Amino acid sequence: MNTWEYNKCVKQYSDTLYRFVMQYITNTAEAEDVVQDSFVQLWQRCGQTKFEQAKSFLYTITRNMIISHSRREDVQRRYAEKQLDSDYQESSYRQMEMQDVLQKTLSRIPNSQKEVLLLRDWEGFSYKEIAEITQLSEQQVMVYLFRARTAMRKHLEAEGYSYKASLLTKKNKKDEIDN
Amino acid sequence: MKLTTDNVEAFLLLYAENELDEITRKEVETFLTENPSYRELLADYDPNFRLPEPSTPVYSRKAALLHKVVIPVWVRWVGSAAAVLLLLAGSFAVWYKVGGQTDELRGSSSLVAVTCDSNNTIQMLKNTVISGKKQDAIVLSQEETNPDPIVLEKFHSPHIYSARNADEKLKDGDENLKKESQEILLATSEQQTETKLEMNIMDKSNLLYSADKQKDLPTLERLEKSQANNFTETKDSLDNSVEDALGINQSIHYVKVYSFETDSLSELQEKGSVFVVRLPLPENVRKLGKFIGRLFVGSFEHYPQAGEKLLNLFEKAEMITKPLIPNLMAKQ
Repeated sequence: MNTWEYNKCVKQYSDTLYRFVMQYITNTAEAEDVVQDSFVQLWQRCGQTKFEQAKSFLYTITRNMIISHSRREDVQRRYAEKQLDSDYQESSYRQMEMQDVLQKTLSRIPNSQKEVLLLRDWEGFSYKEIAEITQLSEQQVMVYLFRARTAMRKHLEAEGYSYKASLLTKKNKKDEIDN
Repeated sequence: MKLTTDNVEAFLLLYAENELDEITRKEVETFLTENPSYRELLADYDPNFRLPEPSTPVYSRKAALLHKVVIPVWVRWVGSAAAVLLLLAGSFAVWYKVGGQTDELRGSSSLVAVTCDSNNTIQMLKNTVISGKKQDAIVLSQEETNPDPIVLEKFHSPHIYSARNADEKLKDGDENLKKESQEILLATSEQQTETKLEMNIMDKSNLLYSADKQKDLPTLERLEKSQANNFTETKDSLDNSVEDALGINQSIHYVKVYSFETDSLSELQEKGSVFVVRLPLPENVRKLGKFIGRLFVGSFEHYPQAGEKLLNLFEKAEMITKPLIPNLMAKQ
């Protein structure tokens, strides 16, 4: 991969990579650092990486960094605390922005399922690519994806949201009564 | 991959998403019949569900991550040189292909008025006003024409290869001049051996052409009307014949002849009718073109044909223009 291709990767993937990181690291500055470090690593390995493989490579190293970061900062513990908070704040859910709802709902499914779901539905990776990034078998990826989608749909419906044609919409009271 | 209770969800995903082949689909259906509890699992899965995508945040440090693309100096020099060469070659090709072979007028500086007498001697007209732009008619003022005969040795016997009714109206001058014009194609003496067409203009209102690919072109001959009437070539097919006979048409010139009140070419010649000849490129430009052509031949070992073709093009151009330039330019 040459400099021109590397720059293309930055322009093409930095925003979505940042979005991906933000699903795990809520602190903006820390998330930006992770993205930056990922691209630094990509630059250092430009000679050994082909442009077609750059996206997979970026998400693989980013995932590893998120895991390291989580260990270091004990994010899982904080997530657990947030989980309790979110349960406590159940009543205020409906005032939340759609993005917050998604983030909260995603936090309810296991991380392994979540990352498979994000990589597939948001980043558009194939089962094989996800398997390479997450170091799972393809079959395991499919199993996680099946579970994650089923769980997410149920969670969102339980929160009063319906999913139609790529849009998440809030059900109104009349719909809820009809249902 | 064998279907088991451990991996059934993977199969259910592919089944619901319709990504299984027919045999495996049947296997899954059999499995579901034997294990009805998994039907509920399948029913819970909505194949239309995709995780809603929130708006993508903008990564603010993008600019800092970009690296400057460094182009080696030698690539820049070679690139610049190639660009200049291509520009020159392209300009010449455009001039030659478009400007050089059509009736598109590119300013009066490249046009010279000449006459052709009964001996097929071309004479240049002094003090002739030639003007006009693309698509416009050429304006010739008869009063200003003052024939000053010159003989162009290699261009003394122009042959008419095609004629077309240009149907242009002259803007100014004598009302009698406002007759239809005819565009004719002349060849220099060098091309006589290559050309295989002959034709004749019999009547300005009803143009007739004769074309015979088998014959070498002799000096211009008038066909009797009876002969011409038997000929049925249309203008379009004649144009094709001209192209067929002359190959890529690189060694021919278009000129315009204004027939004024005459009915046949011989009469035109007798009356000293006016031709407008496009002057070719200045000699220096031609030399530069040939030089570029040689550079191509010498530099691009892998593409010798391209270089040869370009060189050939410039040499042909020179061949055509050589007989015209010195005399006409000297007299202008």
